[in-house]
Amino acid sequence: MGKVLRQIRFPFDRASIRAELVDHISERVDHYLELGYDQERAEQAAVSDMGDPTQIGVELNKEHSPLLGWLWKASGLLLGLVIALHVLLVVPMLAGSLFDGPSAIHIPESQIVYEVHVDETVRIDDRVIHFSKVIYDRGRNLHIFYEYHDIWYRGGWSFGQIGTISDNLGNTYWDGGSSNRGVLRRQGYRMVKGFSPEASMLFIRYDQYNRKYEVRVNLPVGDGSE
Amino acid sequence: MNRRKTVTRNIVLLVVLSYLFLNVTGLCLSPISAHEQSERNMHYGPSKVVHIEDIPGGKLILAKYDRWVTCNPVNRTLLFFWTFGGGGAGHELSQSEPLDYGWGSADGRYRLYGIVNDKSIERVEIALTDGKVLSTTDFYDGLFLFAWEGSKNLDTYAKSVRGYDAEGRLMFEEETGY
Repeated sequence: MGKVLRQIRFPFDRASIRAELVDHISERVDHYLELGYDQERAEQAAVSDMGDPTQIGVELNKEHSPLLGWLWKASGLLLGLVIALHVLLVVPMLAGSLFDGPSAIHIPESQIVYEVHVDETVRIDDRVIHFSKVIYDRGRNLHIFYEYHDIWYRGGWSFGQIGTISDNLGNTYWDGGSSNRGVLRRQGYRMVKGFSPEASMLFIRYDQYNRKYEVRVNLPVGDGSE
Repeated sequence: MNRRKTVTRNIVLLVVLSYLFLNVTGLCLSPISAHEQSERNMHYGPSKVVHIEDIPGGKLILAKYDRWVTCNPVNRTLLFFWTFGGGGAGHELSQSEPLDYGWGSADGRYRLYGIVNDKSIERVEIALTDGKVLSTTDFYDGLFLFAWEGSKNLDTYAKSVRGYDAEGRLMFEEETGY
């Protein structure tokens, strides 16, 4: 047995090969016992049937390729490590992103002056930004909702600076707030304070570091209709 | 499943999960890829890296893009990975001043970087609020860089920036306001 196993270069297979050989020899011993051999002769005959142990070892080593064996072992270990990293880092991040952000922003219907569905998509570099709706409330706040993602679904910083907010009356709005949620596919929210109820057009203009876009949104003028 | 199929499945899963891991966590495998990721996030660049300076725990990447310059800190984390700091956005360079500079800080580490437009300036010197004076004659594609750490948990800003010619004549001087 030792001579056979010495030929096996992938050590993690030696135990299973040993078990396989022991099984095989036992079957042969049983066979010879049934033919009337005594135990000792039956064992000798069974071992002798196996042939040259070195040659058997060489053949078994070919079947149990050490390269494939090590690849199998290493890839399994690495996969375990990567899955553990996902459980520790990625899953909590993805799960955490579900619990706060723009979806939590609720504007009571009684406060809404108008709501406009936008459906405008722009792109800067690999980031696709889809402006979905604008809500104007009785406190003269304009709420802009948008979603964005990287075309390669890379993570990274949120996209809060959607651009300069202005209207057709020449007003530019700086005061307000923003929030973002999500990891790979994100939702963004921008609110500007003191937006004019007389404005009939909203402009969102981005112009930074040689990247530009402009989104125009027609607005109902403050009468509560869309 | 035989061993060959298992290995193939493991490798495919490793590639997919590694891609997802790096994407979600924002971790990178090299300082340059962390710097590039920072620029992609800022929708800036791609810039030309002109100098990389080692600092404790990471590197400073000095880079130029169009009329902007950045000094982007990238940090080593979790042994193998790199993350970017907050210096990805560009400082717009003035062509009209003999010397123009920007600065930044994070975690008690400071950096001041800029460009020398007046080619007679051969040495740049900064005086810090803790009394130290730093000087450099190293220029990288016209850019210079100073990096220092705050002393004893105190903020240590650059108080003034000066440029000297080869003869030591003062060609530029500006107080930073600190």
